[in-house]
Amino acid sequence: MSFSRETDHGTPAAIATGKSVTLTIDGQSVTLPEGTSIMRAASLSGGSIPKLCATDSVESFGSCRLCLVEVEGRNGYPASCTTPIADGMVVRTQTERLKKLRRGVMELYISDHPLDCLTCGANGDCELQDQAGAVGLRDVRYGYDGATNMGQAKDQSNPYFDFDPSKCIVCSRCVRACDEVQGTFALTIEGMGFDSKVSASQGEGFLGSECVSCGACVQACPTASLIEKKVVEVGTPDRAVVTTCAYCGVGCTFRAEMRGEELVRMVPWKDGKANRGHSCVKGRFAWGYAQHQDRILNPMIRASVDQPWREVSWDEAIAHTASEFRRIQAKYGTRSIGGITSSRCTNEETFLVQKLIRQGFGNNNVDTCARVCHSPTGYGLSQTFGTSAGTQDFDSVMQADVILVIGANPTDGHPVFASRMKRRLRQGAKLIVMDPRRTDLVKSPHVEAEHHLPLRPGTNVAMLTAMAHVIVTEKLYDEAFIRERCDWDEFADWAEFVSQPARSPEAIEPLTGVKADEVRAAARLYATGGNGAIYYGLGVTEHSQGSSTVMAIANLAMATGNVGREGVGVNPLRGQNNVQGACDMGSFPHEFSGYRHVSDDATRQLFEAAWGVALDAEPGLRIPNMLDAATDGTFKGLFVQGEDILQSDPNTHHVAAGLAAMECVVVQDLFLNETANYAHVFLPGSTFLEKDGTFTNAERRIQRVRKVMAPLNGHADWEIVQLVANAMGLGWTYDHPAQIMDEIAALTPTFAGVHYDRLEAEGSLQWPANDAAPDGTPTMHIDGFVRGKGKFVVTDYVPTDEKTGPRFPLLLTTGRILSHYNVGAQTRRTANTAWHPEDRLEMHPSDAENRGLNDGDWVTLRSRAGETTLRALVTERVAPGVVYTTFHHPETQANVITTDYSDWATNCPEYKVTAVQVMASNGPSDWQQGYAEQARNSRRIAPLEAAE
Amino acid sequence: MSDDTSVMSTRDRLVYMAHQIARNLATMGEEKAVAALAEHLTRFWDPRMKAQIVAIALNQPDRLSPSVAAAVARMAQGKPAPDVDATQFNAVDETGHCDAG
Ligand code: SF4
Ligand code: SF4
Ligand code: SF4
Ligand code: FES
Repeated sequence: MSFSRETDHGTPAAIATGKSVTLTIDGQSVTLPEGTSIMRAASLSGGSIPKLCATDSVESFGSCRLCLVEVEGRNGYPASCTTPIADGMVVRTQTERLKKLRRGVMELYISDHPLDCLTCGANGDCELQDQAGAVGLRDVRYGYDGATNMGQAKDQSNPYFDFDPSKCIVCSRCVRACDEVQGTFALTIEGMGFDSKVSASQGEGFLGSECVSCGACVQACPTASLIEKKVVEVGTPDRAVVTTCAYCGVGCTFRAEMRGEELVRMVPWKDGKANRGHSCVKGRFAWGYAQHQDRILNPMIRASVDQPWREVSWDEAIAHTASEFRRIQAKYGTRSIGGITSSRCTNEETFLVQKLIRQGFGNNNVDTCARVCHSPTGYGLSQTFGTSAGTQDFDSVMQADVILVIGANPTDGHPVFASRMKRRLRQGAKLIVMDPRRTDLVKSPHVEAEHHLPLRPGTNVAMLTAMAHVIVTEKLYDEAFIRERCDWDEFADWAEFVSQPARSPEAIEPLTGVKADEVRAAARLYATGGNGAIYYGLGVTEHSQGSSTVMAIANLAMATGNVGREGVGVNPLRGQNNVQGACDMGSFPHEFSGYRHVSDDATRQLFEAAWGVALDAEPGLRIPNMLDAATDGTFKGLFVQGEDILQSDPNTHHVAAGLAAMECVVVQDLFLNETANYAHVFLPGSTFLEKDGTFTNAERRIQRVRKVMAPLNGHADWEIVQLVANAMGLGWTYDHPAQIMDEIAALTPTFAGVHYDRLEAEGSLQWPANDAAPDGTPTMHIDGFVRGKGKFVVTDYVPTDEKTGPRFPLLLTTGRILSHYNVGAQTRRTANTAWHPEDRLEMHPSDAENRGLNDGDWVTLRSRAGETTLRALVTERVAPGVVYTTFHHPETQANVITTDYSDWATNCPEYKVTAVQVMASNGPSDWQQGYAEQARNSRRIAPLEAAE
Repeated sequence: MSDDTSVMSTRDRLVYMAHQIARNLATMGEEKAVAALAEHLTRFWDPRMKAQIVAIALNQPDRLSPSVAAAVARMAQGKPAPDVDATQFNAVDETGHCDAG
């Protein structure tokens, strides 16, 4: 495979006006959309105009003057990057005069640039070099010593890229990329003329600055001034494979640029419809875990968890797994084992795990980590709209006029989407943030929320109902939409309920702590401000009332007619890369793929016919119920693929007790994670770089994951599941994940049109993709709701039973930060630790002062479930009475603190509300030390004995 | 319910869950709420959870509110679970295990 860069058309596509323009470029007639630049027009028609300061990720700037052209009938030489095309225009891009002018410009640049091309990291991949060649530069009349920026120290503080000011040509592409693409505004050009230079946040190094290491500036830089360390180390790439990020639910696509078998860099793919050429620090840079020394590459087994691991052959590990599961079933019954699918694995792998359980284990004891994040989304949206998914694509946000963000922190959790949202906000859309914390979105450069509703954790339903109260009592609802699209009687019941005085903003103010006026204003804005779009995250779902909150959100959207077109909708921001896909693939214990209940005879018969066995019509156990059943002695074996329930699930003591009560726990993962401390079999997993498959992002977009290197552990994850299945006698014969997708398509109506050849041709498809929607479905519920009439559901506010009191006066809420991902198993094994070496407890200065605590002090955090120790971060981001932490580090084990309370409908744990007390401490608790000791013991691997 | 959630037994938890669901459905009015709760238990609870709550209704009826009791009775009368080794989980240590408090 040969290597070529993606074509850079110099300026972004014009904003569509529907009109087109015809002109002549170098004798060729060209017709293109109005507003296109001459530079882009030349590029699109196969030509190329030299350029330095223009790149198609940012608006043109017109500073380098290299892109001059001649336009008939116009004086001078306009810059082609800033001049739009016009009807009848006649442009010449290559004339002797232009060549001379361009050479002159180039000479000036080169005279201020070190000529160490042969030893430069970007040699062969440098636009300055290319353009010097393109303009035919042979000599520099000014000499090479005008170089004021030469010899300046490099900034190597960022762990992933270097900044070398001596190579900077001050084109400001990086500054504009940071402003326009990323929206962080971390870079400026300081000084004038030859003295001007790029600077990160008033002279600090990149690492200490506002920079979030998204890489947009590095990608925009035409020289080696901003360059990936890895390129300097390994050399420039020689081949590229397009694949999908395995971190978050945005689903950015990347070109994995390789040199031989070594990954050099991940470059966001411009044609990626989810990310449009942008990325965040995780997908762009944090993939080093794939080669980390902690990766386990050989299967291992042990008889009990206090023994060291013993490395065995794949054959032995697989045979042992199958025989243990069969032994347990023979002794304790068919329903005594189950499994957990992974939202990090591919659709195909997830489908196979649930197939293994339904077909091979003969029960429905399958669940997935979506249980602990978005299961209420599944329940709530299927009740109200009829399908368990977000209604829009990401592009839709560019048509939104009012954006309501509830319980989500997209700049940290979904950064690439956040950049897009911020771009829309800078264009003038209004923002409402409903969140106990003052997240970055509330106020950041050039973005400020119109309303921030800092409600007390656990009062979402009361707040949303109060907004509904305003909309109904002030008659701001969209009657025509409701009459046409929803059941009017149900609306009337709901309207009657929300109109009751007890649900007014004034009445609930003491509960939520948010001023009634602010709630009224926010409700009016959402209802009347044009296209209203709701984006929400785990701050909605991870509550006792998670499902009610999702339904309350759906009610608001229906009442205001904000469903069924671009710019509006209800959008869950999915946590993990394939959490949407894992849910779609039948990972829940009550549903087959495509959200069809196991008790539905027709669906079950379809699967029975395909798989040749009778299937269980009774729902299986959910994760917390599995753990209960384990402590009760009725559930004895668990297959866990790519999940770390001990660290990520609530009430660690409960999880540990459940796991400890099982006779065979099989963990398939990259690393010996915390759950593996309780495992009897460890099957080494493969990374997303080592396998083929698909992920489905939060927009329901199915995208290819492509193998770029051979699996270090010897097998892709889907192959390992197939080995287990066949050892259990299932006789599977898949040679490639494409065949698994064909099976999914044959058995799942919403996926009927999804096949690998379609994905190759289209790049991606958004389900439903079938005969009714051959090209997929970017926006759902356009002509009617999936369930027929939209259903208004009365959502009473039932407060959580987790109550603050004298012993536990503070409310703990949990979340994540940009540089880490979930339990951190991957990101902790990358240089991302430079930004977040430990979990900290955020607390308000007044709460800290009351307890005599200072920033950085060790504190004990105690709840009814347990206690742990970590260091305090005193900040006004959290309101008095509220404390906040992340759960990225096993040393902290924030889930020792969280309780067993959960969403009433789905058992999604209530991570976001725990009553706690905080007090001074001297260091890690006894429990933490004991745990660390046990973890160390449990990870021992016996040295390999001489070959058997 | 106990002050210390970390020691909640399965039986306590099922009783708690059933009442939690009932509280969230209560605005529907008694009749609809009972039907909705029965349907919820039928569609989302695994057979051993169903068996446990039925056993509680039988042996400790005062632990269930009238509407939860009505819903459990209704659920129990519904379509019986097809017996694909369904209740074998009890085979080893019999019912005592499930009710271990
Ligand atoms: S890496 Fe991203 S945030 Fe940092 S300076 Fe570059 S564009 Fe800005
Ligand atoms: S660092 Fe690169 S992109 Fe930024 S001004 Fe310098 S040459 Fe241009
Ligand atoms: S982590 Fe999410 S936002 Fe970041 S690159 Fe990956 S998919 Fe994109
Ligand atoms: S590329 Fe047009 S002025 Fe620099």
